[in-house]
Amino acid sequence: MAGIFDEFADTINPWARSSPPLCSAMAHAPSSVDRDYDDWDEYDGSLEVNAAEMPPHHPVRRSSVTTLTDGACPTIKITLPDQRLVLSNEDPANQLPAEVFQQVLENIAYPEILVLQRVSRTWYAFVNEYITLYPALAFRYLDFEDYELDRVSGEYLLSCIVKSKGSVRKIALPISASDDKYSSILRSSLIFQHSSSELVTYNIGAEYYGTVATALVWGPDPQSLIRQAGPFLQHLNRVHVDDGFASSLSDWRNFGNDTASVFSRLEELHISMRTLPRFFEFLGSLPLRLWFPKLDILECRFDKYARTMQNQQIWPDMTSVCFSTNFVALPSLRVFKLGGVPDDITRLCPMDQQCLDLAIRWMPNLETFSCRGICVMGRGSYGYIIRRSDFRWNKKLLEFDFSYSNTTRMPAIMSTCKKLALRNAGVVPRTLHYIFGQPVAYMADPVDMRNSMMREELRHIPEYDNDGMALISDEYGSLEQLDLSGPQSGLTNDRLADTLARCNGDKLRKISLQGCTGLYYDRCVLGEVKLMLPNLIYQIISMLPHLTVLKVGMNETFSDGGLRAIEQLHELEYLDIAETPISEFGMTRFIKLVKATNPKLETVVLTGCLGICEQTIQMVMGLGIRTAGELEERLF
Amino acid sequence: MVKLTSSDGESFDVEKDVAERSVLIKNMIEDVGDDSTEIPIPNVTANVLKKVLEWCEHHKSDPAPATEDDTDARKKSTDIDEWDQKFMQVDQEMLFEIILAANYLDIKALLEVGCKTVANMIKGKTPEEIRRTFNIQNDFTPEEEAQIRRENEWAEDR
Repeated sequence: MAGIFDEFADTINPWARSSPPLCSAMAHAPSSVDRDYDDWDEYDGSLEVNAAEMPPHHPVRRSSVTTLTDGACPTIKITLPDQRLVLSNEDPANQLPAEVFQQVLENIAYPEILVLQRVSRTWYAFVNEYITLYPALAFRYLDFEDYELDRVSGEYLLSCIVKSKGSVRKIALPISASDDKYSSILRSSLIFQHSSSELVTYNIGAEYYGTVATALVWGPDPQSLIRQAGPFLQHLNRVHVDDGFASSLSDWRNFGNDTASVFSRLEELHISMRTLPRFFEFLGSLPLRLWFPKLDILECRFDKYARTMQNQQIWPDMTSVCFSTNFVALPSLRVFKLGGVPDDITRLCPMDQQCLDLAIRWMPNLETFSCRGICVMGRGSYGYIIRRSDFRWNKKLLEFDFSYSNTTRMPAIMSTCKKLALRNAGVVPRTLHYIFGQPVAYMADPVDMRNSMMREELRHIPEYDNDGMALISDEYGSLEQLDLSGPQSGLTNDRLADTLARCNGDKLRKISLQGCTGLYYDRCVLGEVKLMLPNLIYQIISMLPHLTVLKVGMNETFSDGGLRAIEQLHELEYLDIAETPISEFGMTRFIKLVKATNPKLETVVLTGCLGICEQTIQMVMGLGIRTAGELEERLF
Repeated sequence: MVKLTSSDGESFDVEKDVAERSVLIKNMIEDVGDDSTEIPIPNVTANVLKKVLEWCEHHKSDPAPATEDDTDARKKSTDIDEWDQKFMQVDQEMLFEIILAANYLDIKALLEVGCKTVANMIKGKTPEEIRRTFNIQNDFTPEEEAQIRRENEWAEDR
């Protein structure tokens, strides 16, 4: 094979013979594929020998130079910089001591560092020395994600790994070139070959076709090879699985009895929601706790590939997940995250409530639960059932996040929970009854959850008060952080008062009420006619006197009266009043007093406050208070 | 309280635990055994020392600096926390001065933040952009440059 290419290479590419000697190792790599390896150890050994002999070599564009030989090539020796040159006093290579500049280089992933060689002679010498003398540092992070597979061969990657002498901590593989068989060589050989105990992150790319290449690299009997791979995989403790994983399932099935040992040490599993059904199918009927006895963090999220041509998210068919006995009983799980912030709030991913209930019941060590963009529904023999999910079994639960999700009733949570986020969480309209009546597609079509007509219908159900989510009916004695933002929750003044009364005013310090259109604060602009309504902020303060974070932005009715009330919050550190109709007059008054009344205030978010002029905002910043807020997740 | 004197003679009164973020100063205090004496910092000028102390003040409640074997667990991510990012928004000369001072005073965390900041300035740039950023003269001959470009052609245009 090498010979054939040699002949062509001369005619096609003038560089073929006169290339730098560094590339010579490439001549060995393709030929190693040619040989037949029946034995794992032999292949393993030969690679190591290859890599040990060679200086760092580079994969070359396949179209131009495939094989390179050690021809007499006129290499130019790059000399050290001329001392007479004026040294720039902004050049870190000159200004910093060598060991410090090396520490800078440690932060740069492997292939990118090669670019730095072209900056100047000093840099060239430095980078070269760094790569040759400290391979354990230089090859620690291999980030090929943005490169085309054509240019990075599996062999090259392997040589990098071998050279690093087991210090590789992260490998990111190219995402592109899915149908290139190199991808599978790369991935399968990586999985099976890499024996570094240090490897903590392993990204499996978008596509993964395994069978053919596995046979190619590993000889005729993939099964035995895979069995040998088991011990190597045990070192993995964190795995990310993207969408494309499914195509390789037939390979993974070959693990047979050894699959369990592969997963047994896994502590973190990130898996895309779309892969989940197939993944469970693959795991079979054996419960998850036997696969993953040590799993600490499980995150099932919507990934970036779950988009269609109209750029809309499409949901997986969760039927098999919902009714799988797999989805239960992970005894050591601490963090359980489902879903993500959806693009379109009216299109939530459906999930069976019974399945969720079963899953959480056997997670006694659960500390963080997050469920985003999911519609949790119970199915009965007819229609759906109104029922609460019960999290009171999870006695260690500290954080509960149900943002952007819908269900029929507010889940029951232990009163020891410290953080509750119900951002834009809501309640499912009755129409779902009809959707659930259909056999498969839970919610294939968009359903407008906020349709008021459907709310009307819900009124007739007993114990069901229009918007269930806002009606928090339990005690939350140890809550420290509460997020009720968003218009969907249907929060009104009475409900908020009712909710806050169930919390402990000494403990609850952070509250977010952004964009709660149902809340009515004061609507009292100083200098205008005052409406005689109780000021909501005073009500909040009377219950929560120790607030440090208060977010009331995006409400039409919050104005000067509310701002005046905030002067009573002496411990306040963060205030969000973005997009509220605060007047200039109210704000200047607030500024005058702020140092005396709210001495700890660090941030006032004023973006989108049309009543306030630029000068006033400058004044606020002059007091050492920031006017731009922390990054909020998309609200609607 | 500890009294530190910069190279240009300005002196700073600092709380002991703030000053002890620096291993060098910590050792000095231990050696002297007396809190009231002045400690000279001969390699650092007043404006740099002021900046370094500002950082120490903000990070005084951080957990104790990690020991040697912990460096391995150090994350690669070049994410810098928000306050530090703001702190490092200074001109390049100052940035290098801070790094040098952190190196001299042996403040590991600050040194790391500084290195990450420089690394972020380098990342994702072409050689020409890097040269411009740091005002570096290109001292390669055209042939040399062509050769290096050929060597790692694959790593560049992506």
